[in-house]
Amino acid sequence: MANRLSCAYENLSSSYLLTTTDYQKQFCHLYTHRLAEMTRLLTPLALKEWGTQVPIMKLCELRGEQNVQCIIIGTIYKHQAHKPSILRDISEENQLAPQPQRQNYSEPEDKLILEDELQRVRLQGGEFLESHKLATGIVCAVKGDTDSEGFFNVEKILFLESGPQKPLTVKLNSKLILISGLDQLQSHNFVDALNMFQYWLSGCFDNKSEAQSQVRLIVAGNSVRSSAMAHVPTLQVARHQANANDTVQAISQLDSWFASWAKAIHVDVMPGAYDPANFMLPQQPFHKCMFPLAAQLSSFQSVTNPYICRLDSALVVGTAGQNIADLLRSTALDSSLEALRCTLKWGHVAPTAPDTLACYPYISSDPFIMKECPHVYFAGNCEKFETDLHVGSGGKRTRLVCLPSFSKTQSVAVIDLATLDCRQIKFSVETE
Amino acid sequence: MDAKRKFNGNGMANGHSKKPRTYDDDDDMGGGFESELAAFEAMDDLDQTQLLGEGPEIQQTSERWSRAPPPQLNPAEDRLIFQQLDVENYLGQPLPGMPGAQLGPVPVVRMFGVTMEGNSVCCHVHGFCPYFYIVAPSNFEERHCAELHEALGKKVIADMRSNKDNVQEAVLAVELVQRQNMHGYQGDAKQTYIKITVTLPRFVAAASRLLKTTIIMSSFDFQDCRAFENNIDFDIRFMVDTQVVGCNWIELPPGVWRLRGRNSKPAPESRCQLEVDVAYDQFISHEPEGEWSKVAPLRILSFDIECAGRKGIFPEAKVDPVIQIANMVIRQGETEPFIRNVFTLKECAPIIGSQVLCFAQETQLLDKWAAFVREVDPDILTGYNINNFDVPYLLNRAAHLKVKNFEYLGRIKNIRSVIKEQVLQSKQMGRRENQYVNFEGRVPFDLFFVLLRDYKLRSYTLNAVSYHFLQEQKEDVHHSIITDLQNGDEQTRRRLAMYCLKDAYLPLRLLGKLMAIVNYMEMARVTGVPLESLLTRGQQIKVLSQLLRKAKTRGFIMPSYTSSGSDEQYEGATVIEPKRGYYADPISTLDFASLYPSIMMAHNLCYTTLLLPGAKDKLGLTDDQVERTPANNLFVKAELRRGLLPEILESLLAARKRAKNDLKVEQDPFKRQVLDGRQLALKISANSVYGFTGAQVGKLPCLEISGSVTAYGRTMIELTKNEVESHYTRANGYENDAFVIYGDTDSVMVNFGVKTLERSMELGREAADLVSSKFVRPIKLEFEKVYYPYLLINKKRYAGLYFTKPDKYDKMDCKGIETVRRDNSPLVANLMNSCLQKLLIERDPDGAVDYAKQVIADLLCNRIDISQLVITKELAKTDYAAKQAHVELAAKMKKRDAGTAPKLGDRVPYVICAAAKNTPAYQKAEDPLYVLENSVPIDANYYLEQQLSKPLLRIFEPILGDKAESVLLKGEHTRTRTVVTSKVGGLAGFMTKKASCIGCKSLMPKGYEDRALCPHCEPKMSELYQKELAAKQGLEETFSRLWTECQRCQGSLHEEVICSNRDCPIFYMRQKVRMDLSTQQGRVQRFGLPEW
Repeated sequence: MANRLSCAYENLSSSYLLTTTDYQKQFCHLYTHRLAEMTRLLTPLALKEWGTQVPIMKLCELRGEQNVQCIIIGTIYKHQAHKPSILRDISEENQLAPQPQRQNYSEPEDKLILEDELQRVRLQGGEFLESHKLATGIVCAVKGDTDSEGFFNVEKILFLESGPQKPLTVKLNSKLILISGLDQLQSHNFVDALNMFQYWLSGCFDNKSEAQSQVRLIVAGNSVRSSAMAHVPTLQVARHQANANDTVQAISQLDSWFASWAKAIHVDVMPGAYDPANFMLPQQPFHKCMFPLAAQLSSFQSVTNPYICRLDSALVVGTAGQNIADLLRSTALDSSLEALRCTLKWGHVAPTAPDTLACYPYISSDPFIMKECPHVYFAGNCEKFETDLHVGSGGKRTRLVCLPSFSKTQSVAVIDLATLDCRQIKFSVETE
Repeated sequence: MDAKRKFNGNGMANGHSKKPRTYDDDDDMGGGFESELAAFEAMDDLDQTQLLGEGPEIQQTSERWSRAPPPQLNPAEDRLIFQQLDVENYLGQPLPGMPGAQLGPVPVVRMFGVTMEGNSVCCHVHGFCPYFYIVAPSNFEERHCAELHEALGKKVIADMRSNKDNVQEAVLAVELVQRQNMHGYQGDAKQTYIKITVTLPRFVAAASRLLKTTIIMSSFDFQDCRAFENNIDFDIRFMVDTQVVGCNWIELPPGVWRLRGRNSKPAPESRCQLEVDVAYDQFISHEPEGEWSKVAPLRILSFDIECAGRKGIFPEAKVDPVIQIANMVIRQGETEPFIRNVFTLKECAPIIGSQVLCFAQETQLLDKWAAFVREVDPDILTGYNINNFDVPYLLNRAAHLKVKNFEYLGRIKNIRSVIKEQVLQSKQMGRRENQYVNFEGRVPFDLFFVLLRDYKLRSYTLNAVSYHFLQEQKEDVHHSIITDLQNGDEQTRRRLAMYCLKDAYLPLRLLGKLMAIVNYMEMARVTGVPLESLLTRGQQIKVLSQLLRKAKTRGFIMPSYTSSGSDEQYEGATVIEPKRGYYADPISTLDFASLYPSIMMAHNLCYTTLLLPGAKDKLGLTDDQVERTPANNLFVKAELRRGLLPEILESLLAARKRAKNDLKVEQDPFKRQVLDGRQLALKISANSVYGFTGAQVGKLPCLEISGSVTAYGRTMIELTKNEVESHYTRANGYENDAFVIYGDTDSVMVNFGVKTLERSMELGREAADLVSSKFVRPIKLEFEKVYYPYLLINKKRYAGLYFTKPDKYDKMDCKGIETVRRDNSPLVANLMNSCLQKLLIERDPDGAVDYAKQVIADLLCNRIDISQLVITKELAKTDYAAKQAHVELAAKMKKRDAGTAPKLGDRVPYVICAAAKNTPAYQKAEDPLYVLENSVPIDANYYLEQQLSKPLLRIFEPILGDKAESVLLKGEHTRTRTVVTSKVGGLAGFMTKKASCIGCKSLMPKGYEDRALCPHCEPKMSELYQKELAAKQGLEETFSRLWTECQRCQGSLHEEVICSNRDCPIFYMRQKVRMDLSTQQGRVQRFGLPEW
């Protein structure tokens, strides 16, 4: 741990830690809170953008009147015929050939609905609305009017854009390393790459100065496995699956990797979709008992997914990628980067939770709202490496990073926290 | 005097017969019709209750609601063409210039309909008079007619209890006619009958009774003179004689009709846009063929009401207010309703896309709704169970609140809609008490009745039905919540309104999906009866209508038959003893196409061709002219006389062939629907002809015909078996000796002993042709399908994979196997279904056995989802003689919470729970929710022994033989059992909980009580922790998916899910997953929070 640049670190993920749980609650509270909180944040934006000429109204105030120009703030619900449905699965469970899960169930026929606290209205807005790029759970303000057919004709749409951003004052050269998808169960395929990564991390490649500038390593999920275990359909619902021994073994391997990395650098490990953690977002940190070696090091910790931290003044927000994968399934967004950018614009890390993305039934908060615009915003376990410097309203700059999984690309991302530059480093060893 | 005679409600409106009469209804083709007699009973008295007052005028309030204004018509130059939907009659005053009696009162027929432009029409048809025939006594001559006319007329008048209508003339005409008795062949000579035409329909019965019982003319004795056609409904009589069939098009040519207007005499009586008069012999009734097979843009109103009940009590109209009425109106042929609205009591927040009409007073709400119905002027009223609930409730409520003019819902201004009781008895559906409400000119078409008649379902709740046909669940708001929603604010009432609107919309979608209106309309056209009678009457009337039509053209008349209630039986269809087993080779199936109709055609079986005993010798017929049936009855051959029934059947089958051919070329989807409905209606009608002759308590049973039909059927099945088995032999050069392994009624299953589908199909086709050649035309054996593989369990119980082409199977065909029975738990149906799929589709008998074992093991280890175990029964009455599980449970639940306990008429879901030995089963029933919440152990043995074992053994015995029972029910997999510790009852109160190790379940040693693992298991902490996590992951996923599904279904993200639809498979799951997840979270947390 010697000779590293020092960097102030603050873990801001406490809102994602669940200390008590209550599963008697339903999901409506989360939506209600999301709408209330984001309405509070959106209202001044809408006034600023559109002035006070057009009133902000509730749907129930429209009383079926037509052609009244107004602004409505509400939650989007996208009606999709092929949305995964447990009801359909159950009725097909006894059929022989269940319909394969669709990779993407977005269709031109999908209906866009806006729901405020009490009512719903169908949205209509032609090309510019880009309804195929919107998803259930987004809160937005729309300006337009209702027509006789019961549609709301959207003229303008406004999103939160993730709140204000604090100025960036990072020391020169501090670098953040992001890695995801270690997939230990498949590690026999890329063990050389892992070794190279470790050498590189510790500056053994004659890259000491480079290594010294690296301040932190974030492991963004799917360290144990990167695909679901196969389900066996039966009549029963409780499927107590024997946990395969190889998972246990993979974790002890990981433990030693992490222990050796943590000797060189601060390591934060996030759980991912297929890791041994809870399933609902936010995923809780791994239990210490799984990493007996690494846990002894103060430079090693497991964190929540999503994860928020501040490195000096740089706000870093990221997930293991479930939010992005779910958006790609339910919308016609064509790349992970676009999906990531959208969630930033919408001001919400995981809008599709809880609808199609499992999430804890919060009753008095929605920790996924982005109230402060991050400097680095990443998602793990994407198809390929993609990055962009997003410049939002008021000159907010955010480095967007889609991390590919290491098991597939043997690469990591390095971000310069001062300039927000980002590059990919590959550790692939050409085997003949 | 204007008393309305409803075609089916006739007996009910009856002033002095308040008791409900029993109607019988049976739809089985050969199932022996039970008495339908009461329904045919001649109407004999006037209803005095409907005479007073005249309802309000239609007020046009909305362009959207009202029909388009009718065109200006000039009767002298224009023609009026409309599709008639309802035919009824009433007593009115004669109209000068019209035929028939000129002194009032006279019967007038009223036809209601719609023009192609969508204008409603009421057409009064004048001059048609009721009549009947009696056999003329010998020596009765033309000159005696006048005397009989006068004498009988006087008698009938004198016989009337009162003569409020001032009837002066009872008998209109007495004449001699030459006709033939339909029953029995007596040569071609016609006999002399007296045709007696009377003035009023009720005089038909009176006159024929008087002729039988009293002396009318001193010189003649009519007591032994058989009466003919004196038991035909007047409406049917009219339709037969004027060639009007149900729902056909009526054309009034220029110059023959009169238009009623504001100042015309008589004044308009109806709320229809066009009201006209015409003579019964002046209009054109178009056959529903070609251009005239079209359908007018009928208005169909579907509605649903909500009432605010009190906790635990079924809503009573005298107490509980109607709070909402949702309405949807669609034009037949369109896909979306053009009127969507909801009438609410108290303010309700607006609903975009639907009109919300709020009323402060319930009386206003009801009044405006009735006005809405009159303004919309629907042709068809539908909804779900509106006949028995919504409509009577509204009428009773309006009467209780004294809402003026509410009851004027029909199309005749001065007739109120009233409720009548009706009891329907049927083998298939049991005894059902129905309520019937008249809506002159509008056809009540309750979807619930359609489903009861045409589909066998596990459950007939709207939820279950919409899930079954539309694969959609419906949010179900428990009635205890409805009142709370109503008493909330305008938003909670809006929520209720959304729910109500959906309940009004679903029936329309289902009607469309099932094409019910089109199919029923085609059935009415084919059989010639009014649309409404198809839902309220049995099969007999359809055959009767056709028989009368045919007989009339040939000069036959039908004797009236009084049921003797004899139990004379004839032998039923034959069944070739099944050679049980699992056949892995293809089994070809040969079917007789329309077997019973073709037998009747081939052998000329009819009332008119039957030779009664002795008739052969009397008529001097030779053996060549006569055919002796296997049942030893004699019928004359077609060369001598073609029977009426064969002719009816021929035209039905020919029409079906035409419809099928048209269907092949038709492109327009709506017309295709019509044609498909038509060919189906024709098929069903052809089959019901046989049933008509066999109906013991029917209009005209003739066991000689029905007995001969089945006898022919039996010999044909036998003959087929012999032919096939003697021709397809190794000796004749075929691969193997063929065996008929099973045969039933009209099909024969042959095992040709070949291995490929192609070959079995080839042989099947060949054999069908070979055997067909031995039979009289049009009897034809057809090769239809191959079962491959085929599991033959017993008579009428089999399953097979159904192939009509060699490359891919069409479906899995199961007969008589527990897949839909309502009194079983879903577990049985699902297990049977899965096992059969494995057996037949995957051809994996071992897999099927393993699967069954797995499910049994799951059952014994309490791993089956509770929704699979729920049995549902309707709480029909509480005082069953024998103790019944669901009744006991309902009583138990009432003690726990009277508010949510099931009420009379509710369906009670229950599961059977474990209890002490020898506890009777009826005490073991428990509410599934209670079971979930208190972890009450399930009686797995009950489910295994009472529910699963029999059906399972049945399908596995052909495969496993005698050892089936020991393999399935007694094997290794039954040894492990999980015992659940209940939180209630028994010893639960005495137990204390002690911490045990999650890893090895041993009791924790001292000092370790608050830890997850004992010292021994501690080294494996990571592994054991992961195991618990994995279980939690699964539960978390299920939790999320279930509760978000409900949120989507209820159509709101921000509102709590309050649905209590117990028919939904999710209902119990989502409750269980909550508990399981909490429990699992507790286990995980014993390892400590993941803190760093």
